[in-house]
Order: sequence, then C-alpha cells, then structure tokens
Amino acid sequence: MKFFRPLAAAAVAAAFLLAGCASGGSGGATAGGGATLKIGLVNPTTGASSWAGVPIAQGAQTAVDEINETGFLGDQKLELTSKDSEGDPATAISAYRGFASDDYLAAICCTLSSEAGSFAQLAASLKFPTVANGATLKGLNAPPYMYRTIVLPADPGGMYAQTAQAIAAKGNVKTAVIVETADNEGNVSDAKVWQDNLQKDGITVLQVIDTFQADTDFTVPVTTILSQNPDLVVFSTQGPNSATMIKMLRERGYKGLTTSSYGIAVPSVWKVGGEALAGTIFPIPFSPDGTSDRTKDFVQRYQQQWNSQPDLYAAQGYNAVWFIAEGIKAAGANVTRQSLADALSKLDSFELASGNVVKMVDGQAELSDAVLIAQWNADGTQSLWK
Amino acid sequence: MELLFQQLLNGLSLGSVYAIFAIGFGLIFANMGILNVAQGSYATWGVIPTYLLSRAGVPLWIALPAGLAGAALIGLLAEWLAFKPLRDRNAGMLGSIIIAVGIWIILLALGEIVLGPNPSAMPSGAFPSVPLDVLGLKIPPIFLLNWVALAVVAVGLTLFLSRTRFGASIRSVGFKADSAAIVGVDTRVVLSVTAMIAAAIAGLSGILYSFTANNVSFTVGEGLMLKGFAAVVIGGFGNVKGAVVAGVAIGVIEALTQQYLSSTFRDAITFGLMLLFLVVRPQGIFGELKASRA
Repeated sequence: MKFFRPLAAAAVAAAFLLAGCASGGSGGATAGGGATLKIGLVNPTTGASSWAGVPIAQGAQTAVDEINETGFLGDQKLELTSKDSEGDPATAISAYRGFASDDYLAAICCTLSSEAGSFAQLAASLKFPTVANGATLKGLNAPPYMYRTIVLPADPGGMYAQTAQAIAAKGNVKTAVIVETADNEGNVSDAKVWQDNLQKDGITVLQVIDTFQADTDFTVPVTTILSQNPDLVVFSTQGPNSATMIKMLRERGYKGLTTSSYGIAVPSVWKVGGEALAGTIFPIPFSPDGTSDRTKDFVQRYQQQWNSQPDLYAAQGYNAVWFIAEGIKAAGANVTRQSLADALSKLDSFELASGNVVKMVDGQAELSDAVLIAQWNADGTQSLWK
Repeated sequence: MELLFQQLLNGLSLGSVYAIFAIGFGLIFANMGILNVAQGSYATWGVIPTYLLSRAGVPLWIALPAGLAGAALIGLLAEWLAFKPLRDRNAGMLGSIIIAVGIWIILLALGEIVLGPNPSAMPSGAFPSVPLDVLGLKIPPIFLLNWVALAVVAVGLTLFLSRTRFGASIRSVGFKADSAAIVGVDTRVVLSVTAMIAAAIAGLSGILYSFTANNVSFTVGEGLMLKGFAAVVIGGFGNVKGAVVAGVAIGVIEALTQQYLSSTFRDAITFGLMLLFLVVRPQGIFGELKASRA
C-alpha cells in the first residue's frame, strides 16, 4: 500500500506520455498507409474578391480529386477543407491558425496580397508548411515553411517587363497613366514595376492615380485619365474595376491602348466591360486553350466537375495542391509537417497546369519562358496580341 | 478649368444619387423612428429585378419600375414581419436597429445568392451611354437622369407630404402615432405605405448608381448606405431639403477631394464632416432642435 500511490501515479503518467507520442508530435498529421492527409485552404469565397477565390477553391478541389483518383499518393488520400477569408486579413489569419492547431498537414493561403502580410512569419513560427497561391506581395516565399507557386509577373524580365517592352517596340506609345489600387500592397508594387519598366523603355508616365479596393464608382479617376490623354493606360487594379474604368474610358471617347495584369483576363470580367474591353492586352500565365496534355486534362476534369471552363485562378488553386502533393510524395511514408517542409524545400522544379515547368528558387516559382501577351476581342474571345 | 467643371459635374451626378438615397433613409427615420441600416440592401434589391429583366432584354421603362416595385415589396415585408412586431412590443430604437441589422445580413446574403459573387454591369444598350458634348464637357445621359430623378423625388415627396391628406397622415404618425390613431388615422396603412415609399426611393438610388458606376453587385447598396447616412446627419433627419443639399455637397466634395487632394482623404473628409455636425449641430443644417419636457 505504501508504494501503491506512487506506482499508480507513474502508470498514469506513462499512459499520458505514450498517448502524446502516438498523436504525432507538433500538432501535425502523420500518415502511414491508407491515411487521410488534410490540407486547409484559406481563400476569399465571398466578398469583393470572390471572383478569384471561388475558382481557386474549385481548382484546388479538382486537384485533390485527381490526386486521389489516380492514386498519385498510393494509399494516402488528400482531403481539402476550404475556409472563407472574406477578403479580410484577420479572418484569414484566424482560419489559418485554426488549421495549424488542428491535424492539418499543410495549408494554402494568400489569394490577396492584403491578406498575405503576416503569413510568412506565421508559417515559420507555427512550423506549418504553407503555399501562397496568388498574392504577389514581395518576400512572401520563405522556405522551408512558406512557398509560392505563382510566377510573379513583376519579376525582373518577367511578365510586366516583357509587356512594357513589347508595347514600347510598337513605337506609337509615348505617354502613359497608371491606375493603382492604393490599399493593395501587391497592386502598388506592381504599379511601381510597370512605371519603372515603361520609363526604362522610353515611355513617359504622366501620373499614377489612386483608387481603393472598396471603390465602386470610378467617374473621377476616369475623368482625370482623360484630362491627360495618354497613349496608354495601365491598370494595376482588380479585374472588375479595371474593366469598369476601361468601359467608361471608351464611352467617353478614349482611343488609346489599355493594359492590365492577367486579372482582367477572366471571363467574369467580360460581363463588366463587354465589348469595351476589345483591344485590352495582358500577359497571361494560363489559358484554357493551351495545348499541353496537362492543360487539356485539367480543363476536362474541371469542366466535368464544375460545369464551367477553368480560368487562371482555378489553375492557381490546382497548382498549389499539386505542389503539396509532390512534396508529400517526396517526403515518403509517415509524412509529418516537418518532413513535408523539408521535402518541399528540395523540390527544384514543378509542372504547372499550363504545362510550363517552373524552377523553384528559394520557395518561389520562376518562369524562364517568353510570356504570352493576349488581348480581348470584340466577340469576347481572346487571342494573341500582334 | 475644364477639368474642374468636369469633376464638378461628376460630383453633382453622384451627389444626386446620394441625395435620393438620403431622402428615403430620412423618410423612414423621421416618420417611423427606425434607423434602418438595411436601407442599403433595399437599394440592392431595387437593382436586382432591373438588372435581371434588362439582361433578359426587357426595356428599361418596364425594368426600372419593376425594380422600384421589388424594393418596395422588400420594404413592406420588412415592415410587416420585423418592424411592426417590434413596435407592438415597444422595443424602442435599439430593438429596431438590431432587427435592421438582421434584415441587412439576410438581404445581403440573398443578394449574393441571386447575383453571384462576381460584379457585373447593366447590359450595354439598356440606357444610352455615349456622353453628350456640351461646351467641351462630357455629360453622360445617366447624369441627366440622376438630376431629373432627384428633382422629381425631392419635389414630389415634399408636395406629397405637405399638400396631400395622406402626406399629412404620414407626418402626424411621425409626430405622434398614438395621437394620430385617436383622430382616425390608420397607422398600420400609413406605416406600410411609408416603408414602401422609402424602400422604393432606395431602390431608385441603387438603380441609378448601378448605371452611373457601371456596377451591379450584391454590395452596391452598402456604399450608398454610408454616404446616405452622412447626408442625413449633415442635412437634418427627415428634412428633404437638407438631404438634397447635403447629398449633393458630399458628392461634389468627394469628387474635388479625389482630383485635387488625394483619394485617401475622400471618405475621411465625408465622415469627418458628419462627426463635426453630430458634435456641433446634431440637428443638421436644416433640422430643428427638439426639446422635451423633463
């Protein structure tokens, strides 16, 4: 009896210790054969940016289903949980922390640069492998825990630089006005890249005009643009806002060239701008009309699942999931968050939905091919800009 | 100088839409004692029928009244199902604000289901869009419609309230519902009609805004709500003249601030003015201070 209490206490402590070991350590999932690996997606499926968020979520789910159906990970299955960030950074972080504190193996985040600000540090502090699927904010990639699978259009020699060069080569564009979303850090930094590249190529930037994410009326900035009568207007704003401004410009007689990021390339933007978008050019990382087998397969699966054609945002969600899956495969059996993080840090290339193979440099996808520049046509189709 | 005048025109047009919204918002507050934060959603629900019918090829002279009717119906339902039961229980202003928030959330969610998350626009050709060239200034036809609509709503409502029997009933109910009932006013009918008129006016402002801004989305009424509320505070609750002056002034101030200062200060100036009036002259420019016996 004398030794019973200490022995009982020791037995209980040992039981707790063994239970803790069995749970797999730092809150992450572990997997042997037949396990379900959970991936969390934080993304704005409602609110002002849901036009990007909804296809991203759909593209991610298509990737998960494809990976499970094809047995890419053997007996292991992926399960995607999508949480709506509502375009609000605080909501995004709260959802992300929820995943991190639960048994999720990895997360996908950061459709918007405004949401993405603190994610890199958070991923590192929580040791939670995370893939940024869309935000163009500088410095977001921070391996081994934070990666970015979109090619940054603002990279030196990247999409914007090549587009500016192509515009300057035409010879008939001498002046430009840039419109930016001033409360979106990604848009602001992109606008700066546009400005630098245009000026480097001999085009004078007359003014940079500020708008805001919540703006719905653009009469005043459009009037300001017209007062300058530039040869070119660059929109570093969200797609629907760009389309609205282009439509207003055309209605008021503007005849110059308009360009934007690929945010203006999605079909839903055509509903806003219509025929007025004809002639607007944009660099594009993914087209559903692409001829690679990867693109065709993705398009077919997506269409069957969602009854619509995937756009470049759907491709972003798809790419992010596949990147994680590649990491899981490379990590081998009994994958944990740490082993996944280590495996992802060693992936030096990766195939996108577009069929392009990108290099992964310091956790950032880099494209080395020439960029495609497309344009809207009057009938709502897109073609290469000549 | 041309730029200044052009931006003034932009401000006058947008301000007219704010003023129309403020008139409806002030009407419901002054006569029903409801700070209806769902009024912005009424604006959205005026846009929805107009947009859907226009997309189906229905001409605007049918689609627009249908939008007004849609908004009026929403206002009537909110009155019957939410605000009246609260009044019957003497729930007071706080109760009506809370229920209005609930209505707002429901209508916003329903609006997103109907319109989808992506912004759209009224179909091209639904209303003339090529600007008129007047002395070197561009005046889109929608600007003219905004100004005409404001004049019709402001003058029409003023005459209705001051020169008609039913208008007198509305004013009497707004002043003292119990006393109005004693003298034979059917307060239920009066309040129902008031709710419908206020909602229809909100719907009209939403429709005009959608054409002006080339924007149709389930959040179109939210921006109007804030600017309209500011206009009501600055102009005076329930004062049509005040709503007109303040709404138009806000539109002009916003346009000129964006052009000559910075877009960053636009909303700060608007709401700064609102706060200033709340502190210095809470009854607004044209409102009257009301004293109550201790």
